Amino acid sequence: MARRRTHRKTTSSRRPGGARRVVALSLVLGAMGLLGLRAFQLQVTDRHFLLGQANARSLRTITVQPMRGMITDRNGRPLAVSAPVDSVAADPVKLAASPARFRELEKALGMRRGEIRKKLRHYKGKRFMWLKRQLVPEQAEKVDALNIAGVWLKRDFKRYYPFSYMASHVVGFTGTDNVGLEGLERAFDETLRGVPGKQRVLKDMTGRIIERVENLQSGVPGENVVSSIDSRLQYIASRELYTAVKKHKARGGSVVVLDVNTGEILAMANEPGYNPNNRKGVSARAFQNRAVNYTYEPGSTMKTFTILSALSANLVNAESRIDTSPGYIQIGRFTVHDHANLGLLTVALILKKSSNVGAAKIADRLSSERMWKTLDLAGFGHAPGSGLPGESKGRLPNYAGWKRSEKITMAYGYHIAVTPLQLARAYGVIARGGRQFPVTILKREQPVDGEQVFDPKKVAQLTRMLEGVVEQGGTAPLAAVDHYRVAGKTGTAHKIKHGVYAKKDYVASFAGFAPSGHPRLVVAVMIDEPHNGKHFGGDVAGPVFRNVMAESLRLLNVEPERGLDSPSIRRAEVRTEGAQHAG
Amino acid sequence: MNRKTLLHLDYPLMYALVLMSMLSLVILYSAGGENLSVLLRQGTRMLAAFVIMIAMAQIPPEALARWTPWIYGAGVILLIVVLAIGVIGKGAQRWINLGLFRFQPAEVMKLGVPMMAAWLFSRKPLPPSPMRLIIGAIAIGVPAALIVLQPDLGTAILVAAAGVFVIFLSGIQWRILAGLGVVAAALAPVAWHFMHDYQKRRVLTLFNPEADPLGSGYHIIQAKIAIGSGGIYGKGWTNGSQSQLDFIPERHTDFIFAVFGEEFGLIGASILLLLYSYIIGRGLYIAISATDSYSRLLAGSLSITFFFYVFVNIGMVSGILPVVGVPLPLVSYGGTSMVTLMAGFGILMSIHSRRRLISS
Repeated sequence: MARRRTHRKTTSSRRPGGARRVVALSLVLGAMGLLGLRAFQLQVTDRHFLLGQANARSLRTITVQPMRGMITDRNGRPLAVSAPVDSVAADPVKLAASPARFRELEKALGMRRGEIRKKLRHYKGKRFMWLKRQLVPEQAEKVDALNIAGVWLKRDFKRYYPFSYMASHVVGFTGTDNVGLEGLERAFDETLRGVPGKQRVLKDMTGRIIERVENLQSGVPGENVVSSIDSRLQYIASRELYTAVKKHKARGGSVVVLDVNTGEILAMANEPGYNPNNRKGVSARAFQNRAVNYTYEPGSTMKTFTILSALSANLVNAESRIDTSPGYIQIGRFTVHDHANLGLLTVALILKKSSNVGAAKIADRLSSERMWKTLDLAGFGHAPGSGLPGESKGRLPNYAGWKRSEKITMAYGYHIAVTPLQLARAYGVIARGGRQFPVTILKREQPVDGEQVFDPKKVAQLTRMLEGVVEQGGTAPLAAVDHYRVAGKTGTAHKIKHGVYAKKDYVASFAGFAPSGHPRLVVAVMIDEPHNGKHFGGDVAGPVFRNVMAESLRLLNVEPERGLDSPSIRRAEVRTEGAQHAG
Repeated sequence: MNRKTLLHLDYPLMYALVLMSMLSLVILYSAGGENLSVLLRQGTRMLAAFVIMIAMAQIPPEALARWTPWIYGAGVILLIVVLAIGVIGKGAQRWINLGLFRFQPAEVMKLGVPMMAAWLFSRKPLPPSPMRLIIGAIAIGVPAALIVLQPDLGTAILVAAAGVFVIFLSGIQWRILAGLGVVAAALAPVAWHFMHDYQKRRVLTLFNPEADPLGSGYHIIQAKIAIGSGGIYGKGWTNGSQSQLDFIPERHTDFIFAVFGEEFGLIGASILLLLYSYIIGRGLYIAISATDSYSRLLAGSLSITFFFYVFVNIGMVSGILPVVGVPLPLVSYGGTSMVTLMAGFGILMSIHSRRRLISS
């Protein structure tokens, strides 16, 4: 070392630093070589690991929401359809980095000034938020064109309900995440939903999808659900119900139309209703599908089943006479009233005039078990099992606990609670000659068989008696239909309010079927608290029944029964005479 | 006088620089998001830098040597002025606004300091006496200290390094060099003590970038991934996922080598390194064949400084040196440092094209 130094000092005095060039050159070349080696290490030795890391940063697997299935009516007309829309999502952390562009973004989204700041405060520290859901494509494109870091679009589907207000309770609706919340949307959510697909995509630093690389798993679109609803009948039912509820200043109401042969629900309307396309500000009460979940004391529509029970027990026949004078009867601590002293009545007239005393006297002779059995076989106390969510089974306590007074009040429809669908189905059992049948909200087409639970002869006798109800002198001449014979029964029940029967609050109803010779349709109408003067079932619910039944039969091409006079002429006569009514 | 060249230029160096500029534009197009206006701006700056280089090449080295003390003196005064303005403006101040363009005195000192050191040492026979070494150290230390006060530690180190390279090349005894090394090592903990937290973090991050992958280690990790995922052949021009999807920070300035490595692979990186080696080698060759001490020291220092930039930048991007804000010379987007570098190359060309003239 020392030698070399002295050597350099002496020999390189003319070229100072001469040895330095060797040192400098080797240092420089060594360092450049080091950089080359480093590149080799990264790009050859560690290549696979680092490539994996690169892909892990930009390749993402995303789920692709499938298109939700359609809900259609029985003829394929859409009741609920999905349309693609874009929702705007943001990464709050990244979005917060460009406050200068908030105003532009707010404008494009139709937001108020400062709204984004507010949202960012709310989602502080989070990495995902929705800025706006379900934009129309043109608006979404505008947002996309702004090209703001941390803001991107997500394809979504919006549900549209073409029948809007009219089929809302049956069809129901979905929430913003496309989960069915009510009606068929809820009941058949899994069928409608489909299976999400998986895609591998290339995302940039801000989370925006740059490229779809490959399809990992194809999504399966949701299946369609074909409901039993006939949109034409549904339209008629909702229109008539709406008109009646408005006209009578009622609190609400329901109409159910059943196909007697198949048990299909052809129409189901409720008031109050809502527009499922815009549910803002709709009260929860409006979402209620009263036809399946509203239970009420039905009143005189129950007398039909009291008489059926007595006929089946061979206690009475159509011509059996019951004395209803003096218009009331004392049973234990309480009194049963008719609206007038109807005197000596046949069983047929008890139904036609709707005598509470007559029904009570008949029930008094029936065993509790017998009567319970009849009601049970008619379907009361059981959920109808139509497939709609939220069905109530009503209230029919076991006969073992019945008191005499309870049995007697049950004879004319108190102490028992039913839903409109239950009532329609029970009248359907009579329409089918005493055979039970399952009801359904899905299209079925084929006629269904059912267990014969009542003697067809007795049922035929009952049907003839029920035809009298809409004839002159009955409680519901307004329910008669031109060219078709109708069998049905009115009901006018006091509502219980605060634990006692309210004097002026009624539920008016009518249930029946037509043509009574070869029944095709059952229609049950319930009007809750009519408050515009009239409150009798025959006056309030009867006309709704008539209009729905008449138009529906015509639409379904049901052959008219000949040799009938026109009830509309009879109604004109009735109006001049002034009809007599009973509850 | 025997060579009546119209322009004093060194064509081997010139061609290499033109080639490097082309490479720069190609990779900038990709790194700048395929934005033509970025290319246009950088191209304009390149033209200006080449003009300045050619102009510098026309100044004879002896004239440069004569002006050196004045240039150096003016630089120091400007640094003080800039500091004073900064104090008044209550903030870091590095620029002097001359209306038409802004001017950074520290950038001038990147040339001024090695020129001054070379001038000091070349006035007496080499190797320099200890007294001269101390004067030289002061001449290097004063502007470096002024720049540290701006505060701009990175530039200060680069300026000081250019001067230190002159000392190294001046042929001082190994014993003194070793002694300086020991002093530097002893001062390292002291320097560590005075470093800002972020600067300490950068050094620590180098040894374990995964310790804080979202914070200080982020740049290094993303850049390493970009380079490594390029493999041997690269992902192709404008196809680097790390680069194009914004994972690499500062990808068109300090981290442009990561883009290069990702898109052109080991082959591209090797070509770039070879081209740099050629330019540095040519510079050193010019230094060796220079005929006077001033020219030799200055040319050597400028060449090694250029190498130093390349090494620090690529070393940082590929994760073997701490993150410091040094652009990749001649390739990164930006004008100031490129003008200084090209002016330096102009000096090299001037030295080379006049060597016979002086020796005769």
